[in-house]
Amino acid sequence: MPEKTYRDALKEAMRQEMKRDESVILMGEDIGVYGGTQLVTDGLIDIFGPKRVVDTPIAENGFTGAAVGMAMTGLRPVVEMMTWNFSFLAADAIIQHAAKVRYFSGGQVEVPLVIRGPNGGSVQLSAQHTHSLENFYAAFPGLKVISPVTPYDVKGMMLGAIRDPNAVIFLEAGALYGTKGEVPDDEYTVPFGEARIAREGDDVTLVSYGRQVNLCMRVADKLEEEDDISAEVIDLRSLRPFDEETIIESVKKTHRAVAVQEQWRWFGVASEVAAIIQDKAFDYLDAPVKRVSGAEVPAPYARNLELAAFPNEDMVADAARLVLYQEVV
Amino acid sequence: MTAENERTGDGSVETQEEPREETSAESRDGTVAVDDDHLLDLYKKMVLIRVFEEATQRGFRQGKIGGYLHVYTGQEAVATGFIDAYQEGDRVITAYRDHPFPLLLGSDPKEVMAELYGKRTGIVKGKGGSMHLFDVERGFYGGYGIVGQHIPLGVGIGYALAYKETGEIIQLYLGDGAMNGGPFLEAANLAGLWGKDGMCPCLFIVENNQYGMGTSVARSTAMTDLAAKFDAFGVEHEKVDGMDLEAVLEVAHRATEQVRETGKPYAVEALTYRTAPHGAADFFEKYRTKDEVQKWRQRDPIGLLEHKLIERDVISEDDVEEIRDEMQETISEVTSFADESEEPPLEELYTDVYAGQDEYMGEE
Amino acid sequence: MPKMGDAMEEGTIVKWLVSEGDEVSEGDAIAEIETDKASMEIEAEDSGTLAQFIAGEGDDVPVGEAIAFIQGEGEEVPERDGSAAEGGGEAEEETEEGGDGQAQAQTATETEEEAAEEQPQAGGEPSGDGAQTDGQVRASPIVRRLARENNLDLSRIEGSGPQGRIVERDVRAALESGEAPTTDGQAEVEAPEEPQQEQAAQQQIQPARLPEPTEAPGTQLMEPTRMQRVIGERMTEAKQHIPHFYATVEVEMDATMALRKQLNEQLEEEGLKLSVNDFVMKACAVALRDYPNLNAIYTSKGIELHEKVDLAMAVALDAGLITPVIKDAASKGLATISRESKDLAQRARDGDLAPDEYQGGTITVSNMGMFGVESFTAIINPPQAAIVAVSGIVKRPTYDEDGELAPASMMKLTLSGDHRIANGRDGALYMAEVKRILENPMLLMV
Repeated sequence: MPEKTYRDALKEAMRQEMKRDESVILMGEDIGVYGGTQLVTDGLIDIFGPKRVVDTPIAENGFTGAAVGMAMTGLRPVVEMMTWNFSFLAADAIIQHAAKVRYFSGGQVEVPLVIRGPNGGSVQLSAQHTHSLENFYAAFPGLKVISPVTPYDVKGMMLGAIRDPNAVIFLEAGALYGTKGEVPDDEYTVPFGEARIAREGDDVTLVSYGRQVNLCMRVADKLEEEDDISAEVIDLRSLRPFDEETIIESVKKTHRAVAVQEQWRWFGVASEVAAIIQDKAFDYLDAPVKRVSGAEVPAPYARNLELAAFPNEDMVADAARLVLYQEVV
Repeated sequence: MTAENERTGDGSVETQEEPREETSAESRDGTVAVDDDHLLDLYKKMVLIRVFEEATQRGFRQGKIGGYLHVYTGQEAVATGFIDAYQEGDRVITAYRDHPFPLLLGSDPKEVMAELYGKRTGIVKGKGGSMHLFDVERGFYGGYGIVGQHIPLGVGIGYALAYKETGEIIQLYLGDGAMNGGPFLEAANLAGLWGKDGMCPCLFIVENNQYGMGTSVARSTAMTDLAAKFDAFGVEHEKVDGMDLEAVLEVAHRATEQVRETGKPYAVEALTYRTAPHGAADFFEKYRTKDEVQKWRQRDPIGLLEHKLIERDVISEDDVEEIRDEMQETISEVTSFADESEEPPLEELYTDVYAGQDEYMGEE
Repeated sequence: MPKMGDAMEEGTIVKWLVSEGDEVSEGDAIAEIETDKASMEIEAEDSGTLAQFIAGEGDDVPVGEAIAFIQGEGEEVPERDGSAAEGGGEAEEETEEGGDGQAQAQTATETEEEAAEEQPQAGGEPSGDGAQTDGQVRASPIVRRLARENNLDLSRIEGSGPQGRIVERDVRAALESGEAPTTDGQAEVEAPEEPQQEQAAQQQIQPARLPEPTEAPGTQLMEPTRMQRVIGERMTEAKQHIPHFYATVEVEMDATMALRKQLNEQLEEEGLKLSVNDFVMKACAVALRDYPNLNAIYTSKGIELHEKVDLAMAVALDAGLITPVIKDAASKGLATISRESKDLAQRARDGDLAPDEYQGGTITVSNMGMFGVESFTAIINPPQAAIVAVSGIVKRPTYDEDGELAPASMMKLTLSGDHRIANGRDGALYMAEVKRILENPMLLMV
């Protein structure tokens, strides 16, 4: 199977779907002529023209709202947030309109809209450019929230997102655009609401999303080597709809769990994971569910501070050892 | 002006065919004339709207309508005039002062009232209420509660209509208050920008009723010539006396025609006045004097038209009363229907959150 | 009463501006009312005769209820019945209020039913996980489940987790060793004989009312540790259910002590040192051969006699008490007993005992001699039949065979016996045998 980067897999999905379905159009800042700041849409304007690859002014609220209107009228817009940090400007269009119009119109309209863009931190972009918004958007009924990690998933889920008749918040792992993986050439979709077991194990379950999944994989290797601990790693990849079952089944096997998130602890995805586990796998738990989160600060600039602000391997490994009642160095 | 609209092909706007009659109102360029039967029909529509809104206010005071209630009283000529220029396939979008639109587009007034009463027979199944009326089949795309935020949606709809090359246009209603907000600015810019390529057949209809809720235009807006603001976005514009139905009709037909032909946006600022409070809770109306309201009552659009029709011998004083009684009766039936309808079943709580297979997602 | 604001729920009629019988036109001000936000006038909605006041000045009226009746042409004035009127332009919907009330009543009964449903569940589960300590044993959820499924007595399993929490590996170890302490005979629903008594007893283990802490200066509140709690409960249970009887003998220990000295000289090379207690324990074990009904445990189905003597020795810990078991003590030589007892005691103090090492004894020997105690009685460790309390050796004047005064080293042993298993005579005879052995320690060699 061919190997492609996360970025190319994403572009391929959009290109294939735009070819197949004329109602799909792209919108965003500098996505056309400039090729996109992450080069995700590079070259697409040459294939599909400016009416289908629309360069917008810097007006997130305006063009996201316009995309909602387009979606209501039978188009399938894919809107880029240059980074998801700018989405706050469009919050009203997303939360008050995209998520709700179907409901308060009594089902008379559909909003087949995809909003996509790089999400998450890691490259010294400082406080205003560093957020991981899974928990923020997944709180709202009416939205679907996706956060794929692998190139295979990003292509399959983008195709699925464009075809979905609902508003999909597509959070791309900004740090992973260059990573490679096996991606089929043909069209395929990856279903929403199904988590991925990235690694099987027996002793402890590590639950995560976004680039933290890769962090957990590294930690799992380390735990195996150093402590003979067999960790199972679950990639949530779909926050709304959320896959409870995979987590429950895993904890029934391992009896202990650690949830890892880049974002701040309070009211985050990890809390939700812990709540679900204690609700539905209570009698299988040998220890409380541990959460590993980012530091309770706006993201700092200096590299060492930034690294300290996010979960790292030691933190996750220690959490795993803690729930195994092993010595934590 | 050619009689037929090239784009739509089928059946031109009726009014353009009629020869000009002596008794018709003077129009701006002298080409649009409305015959008296049609005017009478429109008069009745305005009375219906007026009576309907009075009934909603009563319903609110009786505790049968909850939440917010924004009535169109005093502004009837604007919606009535512009919707007269509506052609099948066009779309209409507005903010929350939305009751007249489904009525004018042909929705069943019973369903509209039932929606306000929160019943299952409501036009959006009781799930939206006063601010979220929709009748997509008849072209009405809502009904939105956040000031100015529907404007980008409307502009997007315009783009989609041009993209599909349907020849359809969108009538986008907005208020004076919305024009001070970011969403309007961003959307108007997009409209002007996309309009350059003919990709935004959007008619902006600014219902300037002098007040953004409790704050007058003068107190909230640095530059009070609202129509002129559209210059900043490269959108052509004009003003019209929103209390004079015939004036509105003339502009409406001409402007919609232009937008349809060019695919470029156009803006009309209709000067109007709401004689009712902003919303049902706006009881004291501290922001304006009773004298001011009284003055505008003398320019009541229904009253003005009534006067003209009587002068032209189209109707008599008795007819006026008869028409009113007729409308009262209709509305009385409408209200009873709403009253007697059932509330939505509890299962409706979980429907329509998502479309497609995930219809019931999230139901515990 | 019209609704004149989103949140308005009721209004007070301050003043009627018209009188009954007045003609009013639509739009006339007819009353002044007050809400929590403001005062205002209300207008008549219709024209007609204000035939009847329904609410009076000063009345608080909920939104939607009628306050007056305006009579139109040909309309009848309804009977004034003090409640909301029918007909007329301003009549209210009483059904809504009634409906709400019904809904509320229904919700109330629902929650009551739910609560009622929950209770049998709570009561029905006998909480096999150590009933007497439910909630007071720290154990992870999976441990509780395993305990339920395997009828384990969590109070007798040591927890290796934080704060003594029993965690999975502790239970796994207990189950694997095959000697996991079960709850048979304790609070099991399966026990047909004495479930009620036991359960009632469990519930009475804590006194009905303990005083609140005084929190006075100079006091310090200390929460009992799990071990303290467990010991407390077991001892309370023992005292309440076991009919204890006691028998004391005074043993002349000189012979034993001489033998001990002799043996220790020879064992010095091997680094072994016998203690007095080793002799006492062996003597107690050996003597049981002749009195098997004291080497028994009391089960839900009767007295279980044991052939082997699994002798538990009481080891005092800072945290409390634990009784590691020397298995088959009667067959083991003194040296073996000595080695084992030292090892067990040490590991007991280190918290290093496996569950099967402190469970399953048939008799306990508790030696408090080193603390200078002259005599004491011990509490039986259920389900054992007996416990022997060993006191200190005291030099006392006695009479020898010739009737002459002679000093002797005297040690008191007190047996506590379970009268359900053995009677006083058995106990006395047994103690006499122990005394005989200790006074003739060569008998320990056979």
